[in-house]
Amino acid sequence: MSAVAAIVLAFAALGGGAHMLRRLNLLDELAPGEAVTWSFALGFGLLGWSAFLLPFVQGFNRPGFLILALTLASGVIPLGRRISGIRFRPTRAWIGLAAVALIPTLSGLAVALAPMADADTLAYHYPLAKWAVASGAPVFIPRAADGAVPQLVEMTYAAAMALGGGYAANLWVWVSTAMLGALLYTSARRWLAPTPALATALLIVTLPAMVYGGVSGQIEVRMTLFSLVLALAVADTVRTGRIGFAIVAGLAAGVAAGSKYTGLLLVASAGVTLILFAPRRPKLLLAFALAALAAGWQWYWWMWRHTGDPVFPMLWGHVAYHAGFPWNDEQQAYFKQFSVLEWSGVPRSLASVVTYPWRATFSPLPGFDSDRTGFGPLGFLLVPFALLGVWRRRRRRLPTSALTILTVIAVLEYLAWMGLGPSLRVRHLLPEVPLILLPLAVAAVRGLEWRPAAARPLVAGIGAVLLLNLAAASAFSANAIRYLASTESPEAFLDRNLPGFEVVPWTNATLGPDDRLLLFNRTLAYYLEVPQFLGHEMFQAEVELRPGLTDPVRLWAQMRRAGITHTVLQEPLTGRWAQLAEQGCLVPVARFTSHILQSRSLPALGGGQYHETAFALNRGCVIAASDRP
Amino acid sequence: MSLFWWLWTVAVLALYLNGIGDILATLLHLVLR
Repeated sequence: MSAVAAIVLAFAALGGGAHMLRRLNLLDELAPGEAVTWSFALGFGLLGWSAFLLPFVQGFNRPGFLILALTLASGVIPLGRRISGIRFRPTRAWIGLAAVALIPTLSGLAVALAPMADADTLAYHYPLAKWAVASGAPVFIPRAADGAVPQLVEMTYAAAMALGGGYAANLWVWVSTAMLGALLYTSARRWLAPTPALATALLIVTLPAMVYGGVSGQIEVRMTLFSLVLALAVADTVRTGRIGFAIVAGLAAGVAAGSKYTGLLLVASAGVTLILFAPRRPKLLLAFALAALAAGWQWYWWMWRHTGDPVFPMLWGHVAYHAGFPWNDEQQAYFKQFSVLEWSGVPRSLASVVTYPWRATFSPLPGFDSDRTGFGPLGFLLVPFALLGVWRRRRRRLPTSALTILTVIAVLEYLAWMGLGPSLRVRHLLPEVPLILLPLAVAAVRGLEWRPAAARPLVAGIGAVLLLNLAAASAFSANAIRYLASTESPEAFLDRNLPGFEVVPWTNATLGPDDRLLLFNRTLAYYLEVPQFLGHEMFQAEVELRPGLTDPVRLWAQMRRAGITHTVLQEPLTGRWAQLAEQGCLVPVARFTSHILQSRSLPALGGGQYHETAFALNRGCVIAASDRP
Repeated sequence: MSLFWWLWTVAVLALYLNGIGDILATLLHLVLR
């Protein structure tokens, strides 16, 4: 059932995108391979966009999604006609590389067939989708950064879950990662012969950050589908002056904005690029902007409707929030510390803009997330070879080439991210990475045509990078392969991989639909089957948990107002929690010993143990204020 | 002339491997265990 659901959704994406390209008279304009990969990327966006409207039309449920998917899938007929009759005779080298490409593809499939264990995915990407399916519409959670956020991509996970359950979502993210590989290949084929194009696609899709974020619910890999089509469509708009390409660029930009706030930076970067490269064609810019608005409005309207701020909580203090919305000045000030923490060790300066790529590659700070899950050394390796190619082709309309346009969009986005971005995690830049690596790879190949002596070192270098990437991908999937090759139960797998998972079976067996668990371990959210409340000290103010708060009466009142009946706390209890326990307001009902893991893929990196206690809230408790700090 | 290209390739890989040295050491430990 899960596999069928993923296949149905793949056809829906392909068909939906093909319908759009056909309406814009572009289906026959694109090379056959691009017709397929662009269809998938655009159709993926269309699927998430349509899901937002489902509650208003036919229902956000299995029949609703089935009707939607089958309607979109009808577009595979014209797409099939477009690619029929295409013949391709691969060389031996191409076949060899394709065989190598099976390694990350199959290891990704293994990860998809094991229970999902990625932290961010379990904390909010999958839960948002699961709760949307359960309640028949997207669920608004007044939590900054991971609750009240654009959810276009998560709505495609909801489609997968509604049609085939949680494993269908796993397979769906695997399909979308594989299709990104295909999109990279067809993009590289614009400039490169089949074998170097395949090598380029393989090198990019196996970057550690891609492998880590690929078969998970994380947004960036899916956003890369949009950013690549967006950038190529901007280049085609400039080249041909056709409004159809401007509309495609706008649609891709819009669904990127609907996927994550950082998508807004992509919209701006692409818009500025269009102004720079087609300054006397305002119609193209208008078409781009209107298409971006049509594709991207949904989640900003949704946010505004629930909070009063279309980009909650960024406009706090500048726009009027709805009365009673659970946010306040203290929480906003504390939330801003998130960005300060994430940027610790790196000043926001021009020097950082220049040195960040070097530091993120060769001497990463922990905040970059790039030691195990970065971009690898490919970019730096290619630079001098690419300069050779650029020098060789310097008189051939280089300033207006499509590759220059890709680079400009990526650089503008990077500058905006360094100026405005809340975090320095490299994976937030993932959608821009192919826009840099693709031009570098093409330029490097051109350089080799001029200076064949450089070929051997480059081939040896990219061979080493590919080996490193594949080793990382294999290590990443080893855990899942071990699970699939054994008789280990899903619960035992999760117990081994998710710190604190012991709480889940107890909660699901003990609590019911009238209870609500206040939990602090966010990775448990997806597997809990009872109402829950994630107690984040920084992202929410419904139950204020900021450090330094001392009033247990207020905490108690907020918990009761939120309908919380139970909580799980780490021992020993401190501060307000200790006071509540001393006054008999928290009654211990279960105790757990949990383990900590540094890395799921590399358990040898170490870990440890901690103890937790589950408490029931004693509703009859009369809490007295304490003067103890 | 090709010496430059070899030097560049080796230097980039060496710098990168040095940056992820802890992880490589762990992997090696896993392999040799």
